[in-house]
Amino acid sequence: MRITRRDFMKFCAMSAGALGLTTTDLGKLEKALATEQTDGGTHVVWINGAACTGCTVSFANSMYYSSVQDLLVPWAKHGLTSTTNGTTANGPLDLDFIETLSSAVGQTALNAASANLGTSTTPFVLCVEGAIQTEGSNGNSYCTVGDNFAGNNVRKFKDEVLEYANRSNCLAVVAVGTCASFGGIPAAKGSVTGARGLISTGRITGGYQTVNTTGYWDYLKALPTGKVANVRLTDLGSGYTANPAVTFTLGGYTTLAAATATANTTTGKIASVVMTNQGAGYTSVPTVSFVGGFSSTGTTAKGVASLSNALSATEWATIMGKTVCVSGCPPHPDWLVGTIVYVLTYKEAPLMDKYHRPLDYYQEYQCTNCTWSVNNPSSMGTVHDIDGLAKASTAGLAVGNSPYLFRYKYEKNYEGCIGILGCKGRKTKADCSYRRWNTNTTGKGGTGWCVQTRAGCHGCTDPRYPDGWGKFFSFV
Amino acid sequence: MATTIIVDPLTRIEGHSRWTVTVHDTTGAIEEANSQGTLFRGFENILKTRDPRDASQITSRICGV
Repeated sequence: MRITRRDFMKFCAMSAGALGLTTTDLGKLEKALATEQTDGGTHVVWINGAACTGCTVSFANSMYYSSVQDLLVPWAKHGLTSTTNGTTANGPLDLDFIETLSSAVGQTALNAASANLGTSTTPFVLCVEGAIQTEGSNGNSYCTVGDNFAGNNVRKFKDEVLEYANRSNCLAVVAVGTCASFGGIPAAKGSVTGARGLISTGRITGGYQTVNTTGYWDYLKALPTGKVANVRLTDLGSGYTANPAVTFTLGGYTTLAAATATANTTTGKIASVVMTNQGAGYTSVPTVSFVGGFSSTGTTAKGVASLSNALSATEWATIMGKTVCVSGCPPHPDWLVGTIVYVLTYKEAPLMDKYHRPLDYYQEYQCTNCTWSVNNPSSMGTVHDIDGLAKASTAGLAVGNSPYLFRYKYEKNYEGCIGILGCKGRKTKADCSYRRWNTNTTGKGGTGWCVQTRAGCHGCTDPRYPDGWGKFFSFV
Repeated sequence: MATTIIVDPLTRIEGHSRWTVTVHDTTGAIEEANSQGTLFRGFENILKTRDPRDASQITSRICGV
């Protein structure tokens, strides 16, 4: 076990409360963290794009649920004891590849990750850190990782993400941080790289600029590949005695598509059309014709071709269902560890809000437990603590959203609400106010958080971050 | 005649990097050595026309280590 039993049960109880688990489900959750993994644990592949690596560093600082070494190191396998809590069980995660922490370099390191590709059916979790940059002229890219094994051709990061995510043995795609979730700082106004997250922000107005970053999955769903996907029969024809030839005309191709049609000689109708060559370079839908094969009294079949996009509708639906956004700049290690453990236990994504953020951690606004709202009589909400410390409540008056009211709150009481200084907390969802940051003891809540320093929340978990908010230090 | 060794990606760094070395097979002399930064985000472009007080918050996201 990576944490003391008491703290583990506290974590289970907290999660159970949030997720509505029954006692039988609790047992499953317990089993995931407590079972000695003889095979080394669930595989995790962590790839970086346009990242600053802050998310990895935050993950490495995990302490509340489990220290990161207790998650990763197979202590029992090597006959060792954990230095943080004396456990001897194997860590439940087998981190195949992570660029920032891997001791192997180059192709050797990537081979451990690509073992999950090809014909592998072993389940793995994909963690994506950093934005995906889709621009680049002449087939070049602003972010490349690794050789593609064919001479001096580098592998684009955007292709790597699709390669790992669009597989049935990929249990979940965890977008770590706001950059991988919604675009974040690399996608801010002025960037030329076409940076985007995995999930679309939707159109958000009212900030420094209107934010409307299309997520990578939505972008791929609409991206034409220049190939013909299939031919849909609109008229099955009649009187067929032999298979007709299928011809494709027009469409502006560089390589002509080809297909074979099979006729059912008993009914005299076409049974199916199968693509033998999807062609290439199509800029518009080609015309499909069926030639010959039917008797003089029969009628020709008709069909309509459709062009394929980088992600088909079913592929898009599957990937969207398994994409979890653990946003934040950086995200709290608890949010990430908690989400990964959930995926290990249930082999699917947790309950999420409309931006694919797990509801466990992104449900409350920052004012929930803010110290400065306690000191200010014109505040909102009651105060509680993740460690179960004493509750305090405020005589909350109705609050408005005007800068005048906020300046009144700030000046009336020297320790009042700092909304006027640019705190985005009342519009940002995250549990920083009671989980807090930088715990130095396993099982204990954090020592502080951004607003505690009277610096103001920058709203980093939100899809608006950073441009949807306006300036960092102005009232929102 | 000459062997090219490619190390891509370089690990345990922030960001992405690619290093190639071409070594002569018999003499062991290094014929060519290249290092390449394989990630560009363009922070200078992002900072243009912004409030100067935001600069520290944005440039700190160049590296999170």
